[in-house]
Parts: sequence; C-alpha cells; structure tokens
Amino acid sequence: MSCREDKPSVSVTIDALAAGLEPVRPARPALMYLVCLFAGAVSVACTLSLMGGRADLSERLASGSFLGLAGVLMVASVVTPLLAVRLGFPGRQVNGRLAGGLAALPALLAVAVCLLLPWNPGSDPSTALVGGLSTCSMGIVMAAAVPWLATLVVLASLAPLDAEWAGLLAGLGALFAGALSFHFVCPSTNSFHLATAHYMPLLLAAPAVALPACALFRWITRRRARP
Amino acid sequence: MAELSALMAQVQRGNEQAYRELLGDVYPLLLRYLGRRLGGPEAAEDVCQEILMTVHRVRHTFTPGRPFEPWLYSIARSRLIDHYRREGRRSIVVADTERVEVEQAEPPAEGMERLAAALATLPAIQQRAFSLLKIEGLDTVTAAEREGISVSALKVRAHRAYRALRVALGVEEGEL
Repeated sequence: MSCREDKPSVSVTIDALAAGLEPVRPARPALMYLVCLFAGAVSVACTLSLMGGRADLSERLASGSFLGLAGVLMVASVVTPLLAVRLGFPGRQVNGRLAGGLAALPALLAVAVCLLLPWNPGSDPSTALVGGLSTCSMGIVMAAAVPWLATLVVLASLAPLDAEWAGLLAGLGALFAGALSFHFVCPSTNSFHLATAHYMPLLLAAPAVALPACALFRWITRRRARP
Repeated sequence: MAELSALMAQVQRGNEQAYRELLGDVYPLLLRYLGRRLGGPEAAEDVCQEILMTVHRVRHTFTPGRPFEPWLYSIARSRLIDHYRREGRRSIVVADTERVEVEQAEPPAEGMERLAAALATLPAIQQRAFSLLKIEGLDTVTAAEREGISVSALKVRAHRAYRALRVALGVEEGEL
C-alpha cells in the first residue's frame, strides 16, 4: 500500500479544517518581543542582586571604555531577541548583515577589549584562564538560561521556519544579556580575562544552544504539517 | 491579494465560511506553485495538504492588515524544502534496504538531496533568492518585489548563491 492511499483528499482536508476552525488571537510581535526583553531584564536584575555589583562600579561608570562596552552589550541584547521574534512570523525577514554582525560580535568585542584595555594575564595565564572560565563563563551561561528559555517558548508558540537563524539568535540574545550582567558584576578590567572568559566563550556557547533550539523548531514545524 | 488578507483576518475570528473561501482560493495557487516544482500532481497534492495543515496551525502568526502572500509563500517554500529533504533521505533508505545503487535507482532524488544539503549551508537571504528564481521560477522583478529589495540586490544574492552551490556541488558554470 502506498503512503498516498492513507492520506485524505484535499477537499476532505479543507472540510475538516473548516469544520474544526476556532477563533485565534493574532500573535502580536511587539508583545512577544517584550516578553523576551522582560526575561532578559529579569535575568540581569537577578544576577546583579544575587552576586552584587562590582565594588568599583560608581568609579567605572565614569570610564568611557566601560560604558562603551556596556552600551554595545545592551544594544546587542535588545536587538538580537527582536530579530529572533521577527523570524517567528512567516514572511518577515531579518537583515542578513545585521544578524551576521551580531553572530560575530563576541569575537569583535574580544578584539576591542584587547585593544582598549591592559593585557595582564598574570604570572600563570592557564590558572587565570581556568578560573575565569569556571566563574564568569559559567555564570554568563547560567544567567542566559532564563531569557533563552523564554525566547524558546515565545518562538515555539510562533512559526520559526528559518530554524537555524531563529535558534542562533535566540541563544545569542540570551548570552548577550548574561554577558551584560557580568559586565557589572565581574571586577576585572583585564583584557585577557574579558576576552577569554566573557566574550570568546559566547562563540562556543551560541552554536551549542542553537542546535537544540533548531532541532526543536524543526520538529515543531514538521509536526504542524501532519494531518 | 488584499482580499485574501481580509479573509484571513476573518478566519482568525473563527469565520468558517471565510475559511472555506480562503482555502478554496489558496488551493489552486498552491497547486500551480508546487506543480512547477515537483514531479507530478500527486506529490504537489501531498505537499499542498502539508501547507494547508501548517497554515491552519500557525494562523495566529498572520498579522491582520499585512499582505497575505508573503506569509503564505513563506510557509509553502518551507514545506517544499522539507519535502526535498525528505525525498532525498528516502532515496538513501531505498538504496540501503533494497541494495540498489542510488545513482541508478533514483538519480533525480539523489541530485535533489545534494542540492538541498548544499542549499542549507547558504545564508538565508541567498537561499531565498535561489528558491525564488530557480525553485519557484519567478522572474527577477517579481522575486525582488517579494523580497522587498531592488532587482540588482536580488541578482547579487542569486549570483552569490549560484557560485557557492557550484563550488559545493562541483559543477561548472552553465550547469547550474
């Protein structure tokens, strides 16, 4: 028996769909975006209240490089979920250059801090690296968990047909929020630490969290196409 | 197409008559769209059903007042690419289970699988440019309008897609 013989004719499908029609509330892009943004803001606020801001925060707020990095991270953590949510609505597109730029931003930030700040890995760079990875990198990933899950839930309720980009942007947006939190928490002004423990790990974490998200979105899309 | 947009807004409010009218209008459009890109009417009908199911289940993602066509064709294109991927995989399964040479048994499906795999590696904007011109068979002006970009920008994206696909598939200029 062929697979086709099991499928109802299109007219039967149309009748069944029409008979089972129920009113739906159109998803509002702005509301969906605000949910993601709110989750990011909650994550930043919780991280700051749990771990406390850096001791020299008031002093650092007068520093141009500190404020510049905070501004870039803030803009990235605001724009990235916006693009991710946009991909949840079929027929809407995102600017490829902007999305690609955001994906490359962690590397650009790592280069920027190396140019702007003193490079001081200490007497034992490997110890500094491991310490930074275990505290700041893990902390950033944990701080990103809530906004990531919120964005996943929002996108799963929509229709992210471009699963790869939607998955990547959902993860990146959350990781930027996590990096923003740790920008105010971590007392280091060392470019070695910031590059290796704050920004470069995002390059690994973003694809790692994009994979399950992408698989989820593809599974949802396939399931929705079944009778 | 503004009519379809208005019908869809009524569908979201639960108007069954509007839904039948909408699906009745959309069905021949989809069949025409799919018929040109798939081997026969049976495959087109199968994919068409999948598109209708998806339209039904994601109807809340249509924003009233916005054009209906990009929303619909975005879903259709996604289902079509998924169909190509599935067909590609099926040819491999057949080859494994029946011990037949993939090249001899189903050369078009094998080629389609390679194309789908190569296409999946391209940036989304290049994928869309390629599928609008080569899969949907649109002319550059219509494709550019649908993407909301200039004709020259579309041509640049398509040119980059062709070049990347030629490299990935190992074919010469003119074969793709």
